[in-house]
Amino acid sequence: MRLTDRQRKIGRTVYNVQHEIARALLEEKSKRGVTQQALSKKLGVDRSVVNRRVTGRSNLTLRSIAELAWALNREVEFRLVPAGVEQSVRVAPQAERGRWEQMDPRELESIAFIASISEQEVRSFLRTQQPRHRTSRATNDNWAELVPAPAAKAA
Amino acid sequence: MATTAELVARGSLVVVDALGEGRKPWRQLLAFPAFIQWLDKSLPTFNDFYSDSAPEEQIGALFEAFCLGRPLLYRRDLREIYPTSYGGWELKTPAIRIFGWFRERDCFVCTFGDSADRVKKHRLVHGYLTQTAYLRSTLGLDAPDHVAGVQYNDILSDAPHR
Repeated sequence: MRLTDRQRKIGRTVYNVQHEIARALLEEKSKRGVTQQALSKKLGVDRSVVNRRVTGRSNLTLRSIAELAWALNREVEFRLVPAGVEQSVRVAPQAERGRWEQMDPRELESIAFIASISEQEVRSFLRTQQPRHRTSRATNDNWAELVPAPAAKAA
Repeated sequence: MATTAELVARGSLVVVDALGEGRKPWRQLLAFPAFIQWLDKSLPTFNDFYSDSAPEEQIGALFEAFCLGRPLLYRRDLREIYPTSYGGWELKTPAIRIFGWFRERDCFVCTFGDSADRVKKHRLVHGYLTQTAYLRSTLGLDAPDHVAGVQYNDILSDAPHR
């Protein structure tokens, strides 16, 4: 694959938005039986319009995303964050104290890669974590610690 | 009989570097050399007037999601091809179809790619399926040469992201 950074960013962003819409629809379908037919009725458009939107066969506008979110009873979250941070924060494995010892090596490797630090640093970080409830997960806040802090502003 | 690693060393199969920068994938994507040529030469010439991203951007994003171990959506991102006894699967984007099979869990071998419109218009799915099975048989892989299961967990594991 010989994609430029620009192409990668475009592809990834469009994929993520389309994926999220498709995932939300699947979730609503399994939980509440919401179908494309029901969505099209709610939106007052033909079912083929909804189908094209959720399968990525039509250009999505901000308005059409907002309409789908309304029809699916969802809120839309949109943030632009510095490159690299979003992926790091999204990683929220079960970072219970001691769990690193039983962690799948691939899991450690994956965390290390996404946070751009060594596996040793991941282990060190996990060691410093306070014990949590067995089922608790790392929060975005403590995983954000793995991301290098932005340079302090000169006074 | 040969292992996947031997076939890669021999050049019969090529590792698809979807992540770049030497990043290690959670799931592995392999391909026949002819598929890599198609990826580099033909795919950039495809157009998709109906989607927000170009076909090669769509494939780049799907391959990246695959290799990062992100949860994929059955039927939207991939689906098995009937009859399932051939062990054929297709990876899907709005504009492109990629055919291949799972050598083992989290390891997909790409054989052919084509535009979704062309595949549907000329009903090429079963042709690609039989060619995929034939190509697989020419490799002389250790048995079993493909994953027989059709459940998500048979073919994929998700990385602990999100």
